[in-house]
Amino acid sequence: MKSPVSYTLLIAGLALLVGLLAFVSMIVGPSTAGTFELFDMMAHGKADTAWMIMREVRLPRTALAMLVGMTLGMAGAALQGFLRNPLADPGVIGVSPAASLGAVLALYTGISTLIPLALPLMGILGALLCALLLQGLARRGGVLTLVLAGVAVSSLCAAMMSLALNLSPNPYAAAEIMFWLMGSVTDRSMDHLLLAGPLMVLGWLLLAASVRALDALSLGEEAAAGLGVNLGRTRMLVITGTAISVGAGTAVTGGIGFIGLVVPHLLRPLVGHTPSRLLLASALGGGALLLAADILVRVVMLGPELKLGVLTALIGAPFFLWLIFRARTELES
Amino acid sequence: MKLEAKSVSVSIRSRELVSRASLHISGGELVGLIGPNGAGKSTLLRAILGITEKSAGDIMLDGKDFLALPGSERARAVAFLPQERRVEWRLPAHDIVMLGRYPHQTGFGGPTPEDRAAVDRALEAVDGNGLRDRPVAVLSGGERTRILLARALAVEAPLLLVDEPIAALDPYHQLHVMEILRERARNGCGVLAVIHDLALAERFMDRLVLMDSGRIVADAAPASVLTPERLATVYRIAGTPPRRLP
Amino acid sequence: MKSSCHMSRRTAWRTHVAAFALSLFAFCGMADITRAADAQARPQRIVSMNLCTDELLMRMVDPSRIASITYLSQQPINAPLGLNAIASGLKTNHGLAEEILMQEPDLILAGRFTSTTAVSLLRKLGFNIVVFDPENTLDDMRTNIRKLGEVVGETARAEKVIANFDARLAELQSQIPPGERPVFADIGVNNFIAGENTLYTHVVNASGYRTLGQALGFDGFRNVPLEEVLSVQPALISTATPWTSPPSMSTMALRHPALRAMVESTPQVTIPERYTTCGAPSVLGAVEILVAARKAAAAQVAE
Repeated sequence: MKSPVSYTLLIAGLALLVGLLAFVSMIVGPSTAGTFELFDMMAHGKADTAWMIMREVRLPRTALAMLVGMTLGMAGAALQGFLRNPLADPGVIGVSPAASLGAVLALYTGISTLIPLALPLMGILGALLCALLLQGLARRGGVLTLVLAGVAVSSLCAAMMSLALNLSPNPYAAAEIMFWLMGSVTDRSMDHLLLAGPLMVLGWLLLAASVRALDALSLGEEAAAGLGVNLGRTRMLVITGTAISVGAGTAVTGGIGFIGLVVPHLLRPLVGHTPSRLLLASALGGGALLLAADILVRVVMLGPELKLGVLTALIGAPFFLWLIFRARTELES
Repeated sequence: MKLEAKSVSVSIRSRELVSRASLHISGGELVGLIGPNGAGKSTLLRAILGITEKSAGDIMLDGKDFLALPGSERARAVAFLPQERRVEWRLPAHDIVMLGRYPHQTGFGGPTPEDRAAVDRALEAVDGNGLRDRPVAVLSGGERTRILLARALAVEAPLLLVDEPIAALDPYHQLHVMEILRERARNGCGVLAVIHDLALAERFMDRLVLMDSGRIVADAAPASVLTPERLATVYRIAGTPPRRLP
Repeated sequence: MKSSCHMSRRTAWRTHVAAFALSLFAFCGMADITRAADAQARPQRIVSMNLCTDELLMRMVDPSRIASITYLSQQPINAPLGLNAIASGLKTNHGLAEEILMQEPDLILAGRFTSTTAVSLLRKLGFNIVVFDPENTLDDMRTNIRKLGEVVGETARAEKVIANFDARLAELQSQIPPGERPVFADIGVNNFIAGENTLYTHVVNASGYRTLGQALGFDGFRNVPLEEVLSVQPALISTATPWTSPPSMSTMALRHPALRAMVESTPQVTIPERYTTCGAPSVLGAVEILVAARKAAAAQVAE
């Protein structure tokens, strides 16, 4: 089915949207402080503080929201293409829960209070261990083995995180773990960006290398192999690329879901259903969506902070149900 | 170009699915690989292409080790149409056929004029021009098979391996597909097709290779292979030798 | 009050000298250093990011030196004992780095588990942040009060707060009837019971009771199954929590039929949770309620 818009136009439009939302994200502050108080400060001689806020608080936050959104969108598209299933998302192969578990352990053992960067580092470690496990398990098996392994890893990690909450020494530590798991980019610093950023980009490069093979995989694994696709190499690129990029992102932000599921679904008809084109489009779409959600989180100021992961789930899940409802006949064919 | 399997065996968990099977296919001939269900036909095909790992034997392409060649080179030499007819994603027929050019494409550039020409030729060969822009998911069984066959033809490889090209097709489409394959062979391509319909096999194929329980039991012209004794022992059916249809 | 008038005049004098010196040094670009040094000794724009440091701060420092407290302290349910008037007049924060940066603090107080990302960001940007551990005993409370007094430059006032607290505590404790300490069962929330080595237990002990957790013999906080709760016959119970509206799963536990008999036959009190959340003078509110209950029980027995 031909797409209603040309690919170049779509990418340009999405890139423009991302740029616009990034700009808005830089000028929006927490609504209690007043959106334009920053400009007020600059006008009244407190420019130093205002610029520091821009540079050290809003810039890392905006950059992280954009990069993590792009990562989730891209990984979602890659996984859906590789697993040949429109319901796949980075959580399916267990990478996000594994990264969350690493971070939760850092919180639970108290290492994160001694060394703040221990939290994201342990998250990344968790994701990489998961990737190693998946690579080992999936070598002999196919797509089904991979998905089942991912489900097993997810369940195990969820159980371990529940255990940490269960055995938590005090209610404050338990609350801290719980809130971290809900996902947020609030008050992340440049350190977080410099740690996770390069890893996310590395993951993107790995995913991008698998792009053509994903197209061939539309015909099934055997036909793709017959066309010269190296299935083992493709699997390695997709799993490792997802683990590194999504792992690094989750390690810094906590659990943010539905971006990797909903964005590829939305954009697929606009790229003519071609998996290779969907990757870049989903990356930009994911970045735009997460930036928009993060702006919303700041504008809608309920008493306690509204967590980003909660918002994406609140919007994503019903929206996804609606998408499935609309496309239900299509999914069966 | 000649593709040769020499004493190929395939075992999975100490069960031998294919046992020392040897066959060959060269340009210009249409060969049928026949046998009852479970004989190991598809397994042998997959072993030849390197999709399933063989436990013994060699696969030679013009005397060179076929499986040692890089994937894209193998794909340019031998095109494969598997049994799986499911296409994920609502891709239009034209894009599906274009996937056949994958072994010829490198890097991120789009399709070249040569690619487009090959796709046009392939669609022409299967009489699929009217289906160009239709999503494959909504095509009927016969239309889908033709488009997927066009995808295999678009590779424009000297050899073509096809697994059950006419399964679930009505008689008209069965004949149509067999004619396309025969035309291909006449134009210099070497075509090996796994097939169940003995009448069509006898009618269209230059040579038949008969498999039973993982072994090649016959490899000759159809008349010599499809004898009543063979049909009784291998297929366990009583039958008269097929008559030539006009 | 007289001494504070003296203090404030001296403070004003010091501030004027400092301001003059600052304007001189401003030319040499040394303004930042002196301002920081001065602020170190007596911070003028203090931000508190934690409910408990909110209370201690409000008790020890003039409101003019408080840049903001958490928004929680302005909620009636969380207001510290007797500080409503002060709390309602202050600016608030929600624990977000950006808000706090805009308030331009020279000292930030935080709890060990509060907004850890904001705290590490602010620390990275060079702000003076002092972190307080949650209190487990009344001595922890005294330590934290002294520590706070030191960092805000009000050591004398800190001692005064402690002295006032100790005096009032002693006064209340003198009213406790003699005899073995009976069991007080606070089963208000989801049977989440306090055992040994918790602030809650220390407060209850200081009021002449033992907690259910002590009776059952465990450490820390634990969910206790109903059977175990019923195995101990308490002398006093509290089933009321301030969170009953809107209702939650936790308060449903209170309606259990097995508990009803016990609830109906035992004297009850209601202790606002806020009194025992922080190791701060607000605990005196809880002590008062419990001591009164102890006296009432003794009076009943006497009848």
